[in-house]
Amino acid sequence: MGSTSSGMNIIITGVGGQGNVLAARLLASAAMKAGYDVLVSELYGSAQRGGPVISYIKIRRGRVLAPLIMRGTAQAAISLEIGEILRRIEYIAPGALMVINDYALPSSEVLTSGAHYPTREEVYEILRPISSNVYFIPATEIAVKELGSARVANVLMLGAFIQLSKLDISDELMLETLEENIPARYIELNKRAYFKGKEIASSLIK
Amino acid sequence: MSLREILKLDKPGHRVLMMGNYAIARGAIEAGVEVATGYPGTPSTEALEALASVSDELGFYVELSVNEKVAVEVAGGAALAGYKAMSTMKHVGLNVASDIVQTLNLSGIDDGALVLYVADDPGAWVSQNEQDTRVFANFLHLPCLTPHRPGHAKELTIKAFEISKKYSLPVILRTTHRVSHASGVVELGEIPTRTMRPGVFKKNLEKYYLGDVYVQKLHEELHEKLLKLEKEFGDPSLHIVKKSGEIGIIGDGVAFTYAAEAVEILGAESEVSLLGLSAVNPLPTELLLDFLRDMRQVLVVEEVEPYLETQLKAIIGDAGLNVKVLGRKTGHIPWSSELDLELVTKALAKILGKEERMKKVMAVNMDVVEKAKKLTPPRYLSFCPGCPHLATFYELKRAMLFEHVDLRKAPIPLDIGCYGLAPFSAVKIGDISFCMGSGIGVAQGLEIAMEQQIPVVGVIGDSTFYHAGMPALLNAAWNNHPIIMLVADNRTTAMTGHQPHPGVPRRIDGKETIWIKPEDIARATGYEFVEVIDPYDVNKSVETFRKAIRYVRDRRKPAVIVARRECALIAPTKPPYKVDPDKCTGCKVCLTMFGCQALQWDPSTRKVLIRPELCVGCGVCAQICPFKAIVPGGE
Repeated sequence: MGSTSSGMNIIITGVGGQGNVLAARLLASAAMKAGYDVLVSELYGSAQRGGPVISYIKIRRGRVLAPLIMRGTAQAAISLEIGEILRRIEYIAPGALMVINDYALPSSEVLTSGAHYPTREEVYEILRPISSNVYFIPATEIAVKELGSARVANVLMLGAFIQLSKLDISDELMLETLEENIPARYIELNKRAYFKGKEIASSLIK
Repeated sequence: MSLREILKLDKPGHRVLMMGNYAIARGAIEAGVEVATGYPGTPSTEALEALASVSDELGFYVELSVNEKVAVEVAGGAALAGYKAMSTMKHVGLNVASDIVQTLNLSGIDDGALVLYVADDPGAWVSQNEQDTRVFANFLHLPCLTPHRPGHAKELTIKAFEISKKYSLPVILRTTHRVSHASGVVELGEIPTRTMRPGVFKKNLEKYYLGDVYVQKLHEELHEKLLKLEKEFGDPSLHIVKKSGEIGIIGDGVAFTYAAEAVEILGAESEVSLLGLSAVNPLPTELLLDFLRDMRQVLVVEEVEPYLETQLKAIIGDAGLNVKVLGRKTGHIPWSSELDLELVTKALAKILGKEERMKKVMAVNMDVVEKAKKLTPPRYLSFCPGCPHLATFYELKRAMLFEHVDLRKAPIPLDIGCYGLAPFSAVKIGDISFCMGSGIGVAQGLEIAMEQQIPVVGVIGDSTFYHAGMPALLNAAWNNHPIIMLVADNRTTAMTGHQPHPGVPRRIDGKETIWIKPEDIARATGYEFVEVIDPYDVNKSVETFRKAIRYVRDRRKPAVIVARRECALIAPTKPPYKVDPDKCTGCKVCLTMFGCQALQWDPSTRKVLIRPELCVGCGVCAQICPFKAIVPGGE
């Protein structure tokens, strides 16, 4: 059940408003173009913003039978927020690839109670026994500083993930997917975010 | 390709990734839909939106109706004149529509077609209950199809139109959350050329005048139709049948797909036979018996109620078979919440004695999970930054406190919409949330029973107001229930993703129309106290709420307040505010009494800061801060 080019179970975790659902559909759509069968299912509560969101993406060379995955069977995880990976940790398989946005979005519960918010070091400590294949990427920070919009952090993370994963998804298919799914005036920005993510990821590979 | 281009693409065989709701819209287009109506409701909404996005170009009619009952009446009317019509709604929407459906089943729809797309929400992720539309379909005597993935949903939508026309009966297409909102590969079919020919209504009192003169005959005919449908649904090619061992799984919808994958995970292909049903009312008895005769025991995998389970037992009993039925009643499947792959695999593993194999696949390090759970930050539902509802509730609570209302006693019924998040916000207000329109209705009964000095405030949203709040509004006026009705008008149906409603001068297809204001309706029905407030103006809003409380107490008459401000997700944003650290005393009033998500506590400085990427510049917190420490950021 290793993460190979024959397919994988992927989860994307984050907070409502971070573009989780879009990232999942972009990834699945590009994978479909690359000849995989795909099923995506996501879960978000009633709120438009601020709630925990999880997407399940199943990609197979053969047929994907059902949406959702069992615990301990996600061969990859993308977390758009640093604390949210912990909420879904039981889904992550040993040795899984984890690409985590080094960006904290403390909930109002934490803020008003003054409760502790997990740091990058604490999160890494917890994840390490499961997998050493963990990458922290300051996606939101770079998206704001270098691209001028926090909203493309999701696509930046996607670029980093595709660079680090072994999925056979070419840039060409990914760019085609962006063009089909993103409003015209934001396409260039998203393409830049995608390549920025790939660039950062390749600098992280030892 | 954009969604609109995909919906219009006449390229049979082309494969695209589509959400279940879009696949259903595409299915309706391929079936030649001529009229589509509906009311937003998660997880169904995107189907109607998708249809509206291409209706002009493809030449059919779409409307977002005021509620589901009206939607089905409009679609049903068009079907009576020979059109192919569709209505979309969520499971609880069918409750609202059921009155008309319980007559259209008897009258039929002549040679038109009427498909009711009803999306269920097992787990009630975004609903007030878990309700099983298959049970309702049985009660409504209507054929019911249950797709299991987006591509299948498209195919069954086309089938639903065919059956509806063939039997002159409305057909229910029942999905669940994980079909409607899942995205999967869909193969496109042909788009028929469409000519919106004038419809013809063939007068026939014996069919359309429901009452004791004709109705018994219609009832008998309906049952005759159902007997024929049972045969039609017996066609094995409509279902998934995989005969193998003596242990069988029977299921439908997405639940069946979990079972199919569970068999693969457990490597039980040679032991387990599968029957995945695509049509569940009426149940194809012969097909089921063919399957059941070779089984020793059968696990029934279905969401939400033991609908198949119960009927299967009757079928087995009638046929005198000796097959053990496993499911909810034997404890293999839980009675509430949605099913998932793990749950179904577990049930099957238990039956097959393959628990060890399942454990091997699921490599969960419980130690790590325990540690992670301790560190996982709590994160509940909350209002978006700049949400006008949050400001409205802050102001209502302030006014109640100023007027010495005992907040422990005063009931505040809420309604269905984003404002229902109020009890979970920092404002912590709101006590009841039932169903569409009940916020105003329940408030009236509470008022009868409460002490007179305790004002009852019924809260309702804008779309909800038109949907089911208006009869309750009339009732409060006519029967004189002295309550405060708060209409939280954010100029959109926000929770389902920003659809228009009669309080917006724009139809779902983008065309202009009239703006019907709640305050005008209230005034026209005799309300004397009707005020419109802007929740972003804190002092004025608090003052108006106080006036309303005094009015209701002193005059013993109902009052209406419309809190109007566009949803922060669609309104243009303004530059973010910032905190002046010299003035911020760290009192936390903004965090604990108001609690906008953009406001955050900085433990290092012990002061509040504003996250510029979240702040929409509404300025409400600046008005709330007792030390005037929150100021416009200016960039």
